[in-house]
Amino acid sequence: MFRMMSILFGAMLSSSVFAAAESEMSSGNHFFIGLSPGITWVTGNQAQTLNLQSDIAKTYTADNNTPYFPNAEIFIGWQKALAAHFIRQSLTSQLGLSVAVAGNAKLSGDIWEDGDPNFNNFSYNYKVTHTHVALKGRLIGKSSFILEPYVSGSIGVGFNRAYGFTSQPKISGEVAAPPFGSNTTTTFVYTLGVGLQKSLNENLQVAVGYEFADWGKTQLSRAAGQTQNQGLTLNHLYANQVQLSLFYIV
Amino acid sequence: MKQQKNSRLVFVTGMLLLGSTVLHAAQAKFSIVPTSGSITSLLLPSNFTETVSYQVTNQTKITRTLTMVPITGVTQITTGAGVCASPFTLSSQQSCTLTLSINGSQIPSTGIMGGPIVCKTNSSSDPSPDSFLCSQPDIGNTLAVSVTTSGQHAYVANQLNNTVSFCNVNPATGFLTQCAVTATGLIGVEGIGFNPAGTFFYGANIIGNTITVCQVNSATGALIGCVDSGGTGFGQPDGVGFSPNGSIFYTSNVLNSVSACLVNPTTGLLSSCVNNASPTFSAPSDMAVNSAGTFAYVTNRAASTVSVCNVSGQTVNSCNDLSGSNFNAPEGITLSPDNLHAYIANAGSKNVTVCNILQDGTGLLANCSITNGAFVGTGNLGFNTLGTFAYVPNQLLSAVFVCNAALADGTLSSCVPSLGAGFSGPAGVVLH
Repeated sequence: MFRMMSILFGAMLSSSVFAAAESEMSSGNHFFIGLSPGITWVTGNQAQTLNLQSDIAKTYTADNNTPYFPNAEIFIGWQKALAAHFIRQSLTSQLGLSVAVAGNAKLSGDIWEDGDPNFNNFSYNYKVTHTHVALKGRLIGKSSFILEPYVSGSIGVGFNRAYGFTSQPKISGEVAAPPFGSNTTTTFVYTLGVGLQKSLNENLQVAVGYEFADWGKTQLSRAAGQTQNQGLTLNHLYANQVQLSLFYIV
Repeated sequence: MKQQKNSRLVFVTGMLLLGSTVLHAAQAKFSIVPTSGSITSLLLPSNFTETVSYQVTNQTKITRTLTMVPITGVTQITTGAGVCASPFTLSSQQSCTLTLSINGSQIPSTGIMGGPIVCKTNSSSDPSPDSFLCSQPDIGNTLAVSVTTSGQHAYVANQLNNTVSFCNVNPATGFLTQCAVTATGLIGVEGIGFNPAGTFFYGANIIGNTITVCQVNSATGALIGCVDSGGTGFGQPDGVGFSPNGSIFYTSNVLNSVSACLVNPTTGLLSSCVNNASPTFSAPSDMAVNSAGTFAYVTNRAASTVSVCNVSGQTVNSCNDLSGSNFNAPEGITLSPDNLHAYIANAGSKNVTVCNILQDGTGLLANCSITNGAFVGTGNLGFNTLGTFAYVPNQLLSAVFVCNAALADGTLSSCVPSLGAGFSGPAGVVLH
């Protein structure tokens, strides 16, 4: 999946470059702006064992099911229609800057005291909000059908804010440890997407699609009094997004 | 064949997962359970101290050094067999007793709601609790301590071992706790009481023919510096009474008189005692003086009567022994705090008679009837300040019973053991 989408993304960027080179073959550049609201769910929460003090270790298990939450993206740039003879397909490319926000991803699991499953004494949860700015491209296949396929991709810089960590005892005889602190991580982000779109007229396009995003690293900071390591850390948090997009072509 | 293997694998994996789910139950790392008889929910008077104990067990597989999170007003007691030190080290499954002394005078007005919390100790150089590994008792067993106004102590004359016990009185239930001997060296002590200011305690030694006077530690209620009062002329004294200003001490003598002595306001010592006689006296076994200081009530054990006498200074005279009824070898007499009722402890019939005190200026007794309370032996009843609890000594059982007292008609009901312990032939009871 990743490989296929990467190839498509590479092809799309290449076509954009071709398009620039073959500007005399195109019908000209058009500025566009796109708005894409949608829903998101994340995967990638993983069990981890942390040494919080020199003699205290806790295992944090990971729940697989995370609730859905909203996302929104604004995508502005230049659209160029082109004829990509090498794949015998008439194409339109869009290249520009996207700014996306999503949240709150709610991550949860259990806490095993001393890393011992016999002391599965707490449940925990925390939230992650994600923002990124990326260079994004979209390659739209022109067809005689009503709907036109597209692929998209982006690379950029993301900001993951992990916050609101709480732990709840499962039995009244246990006392929760101090919570991890909030933390914002700056990280590399990429997205890959596919979908279908329809041109309503010369200026308006609507699209629906799926986008996979690697939000990169998230990390909570140390709890008050913690002397070792940081808070819960995920090197990759993956987001799956279904987006409905509206593009206005100037 | 391969499909069959896969099915088996899936089944085994499923069972393992199910098993692990069942086994992964929550349990406290350090279990903290009240020891037998330890009450963790208290209404604690501001002048009382109570002790609460928990058994702490390290349920983890790791030997841990543990520390209790400090609680305002609570001190950990670290001496005694099996008692947890501070900090204390427990190997896996090892236990110790966490003993806490709760001081009502130091508890915040909001009380104590929760704890004790026991945590791993930070380090040998820093014995403070590490908040990353802590447990506490289950919700029904955590400390729940509310502070109330100053509580009373109950003082019990232990006639058989010549001591005086004092106990904390639970203001809500009337039960006695934390009983301990506070005075020794008395000689057949029977009647006991305090001067109106509460600064001196007096014990009438029926065998020693003396009156013992003690000072009262106003902070703890303990009796200190007990000495012979210096009063003379007693003949088997067995009662204690005072004039309203505390300047005159009265005691009944089995040898048919009532002594009236002057009180040194500084030392509490007695002097210039005079004996008042009356033809109505017949082995006076106890006496009480009303709060106005105008009437003395003397029980006549031999005649099964009560003499109601006029009191003026050191003079006790004009006694009337015709009022009241239902007396049977009356041993003790106590007036209710509001002075509306008199309670007579009958040694013969082993019960208690309650009489109305006429408010017509005569002070005579009327409408006497038997009420609840199994009195056995010698001595008299005691009442709390409100007059809602009566304490009845029972020498046969070496116990003190607590009864509900009805303010309206003075009847006693629902008498049960007071839970106070350590008594030896309890006779007189007084609350202060």
